[in-house]
Amino acid sequence: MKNKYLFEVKVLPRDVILDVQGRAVTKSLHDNGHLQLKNMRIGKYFEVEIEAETEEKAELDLKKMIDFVLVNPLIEKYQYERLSK
Amino acid sequence: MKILITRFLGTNCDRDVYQWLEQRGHQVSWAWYQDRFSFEGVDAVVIPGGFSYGDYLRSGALAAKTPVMDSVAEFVKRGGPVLGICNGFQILCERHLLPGSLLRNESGRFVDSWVELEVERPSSFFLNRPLGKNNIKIPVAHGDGRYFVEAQELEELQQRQQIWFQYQNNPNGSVANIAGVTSEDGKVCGLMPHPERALFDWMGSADGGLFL
Repeated sequence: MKNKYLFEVKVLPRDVILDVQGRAVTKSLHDNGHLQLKNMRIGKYFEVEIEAETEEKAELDLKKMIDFVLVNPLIEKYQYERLSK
Repeated sequence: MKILITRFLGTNCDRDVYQWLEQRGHQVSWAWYQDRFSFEGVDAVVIPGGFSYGDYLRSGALAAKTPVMDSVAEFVKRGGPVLGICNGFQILCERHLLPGSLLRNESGRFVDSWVELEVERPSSFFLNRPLGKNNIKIPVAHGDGRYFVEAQELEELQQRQQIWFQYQNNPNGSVANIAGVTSEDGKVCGLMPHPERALFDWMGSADGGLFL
């Protein structure tokens, strides 16, 4: 019997990487009066629905997909967690 | 030489590369991204520029995970030479056939201009003739050309002569002004500039004709 498992994956540029997008958005917000904004880094958010027999199997599959293509560890860092819908 | 040119959905420099290689006297044919190839009798593969998979997720990330790239990886394992131009360079990095990664340009802007490249590694499979000069003039056109590699790895690249070209005037913030790199044996090469756009003097430079 298969169940549907929902995960979220949050990806950000590694700290050592210059985040050009974050910098551009910060500047725009500063130009528009948000001078208290000290820093912003922008990344990606994935909502992933996996069909599997157990949560462990679903998580294993997710980890495989993350390592396979979703995240490039040279330039990105990430975290994921199961969502209970 | 018999050369295969890969094509992904979103590749748009394929026909220019075809003409460039044909003008240089090579026998060229296509390699469709969904197909695998044995590469028997193939002398080299060129991965042209463009916007494969719309640059979705990360430039070159999805194209790196295709049957044709499985074949290219196998070809490289067997000592086959591969050249990646612009998006092709991004694809080779995502496939880990070359070290590093290409990030958004430091300016945040798409850069479209001529650049002077200092040739750091004078001998590789794809550029292997006495140039009679230190620099070559080739155009760049990219939004994600900032080459990145960790400090430790950069040192190793320098030691192993894997830095192929450096920009005289860095247009994108690449670490160490790197415009192109090669594998240690010089058979797998990647560069952000477009040599196929510098084939005849009327184009602005004929230095692309120095390759192959």
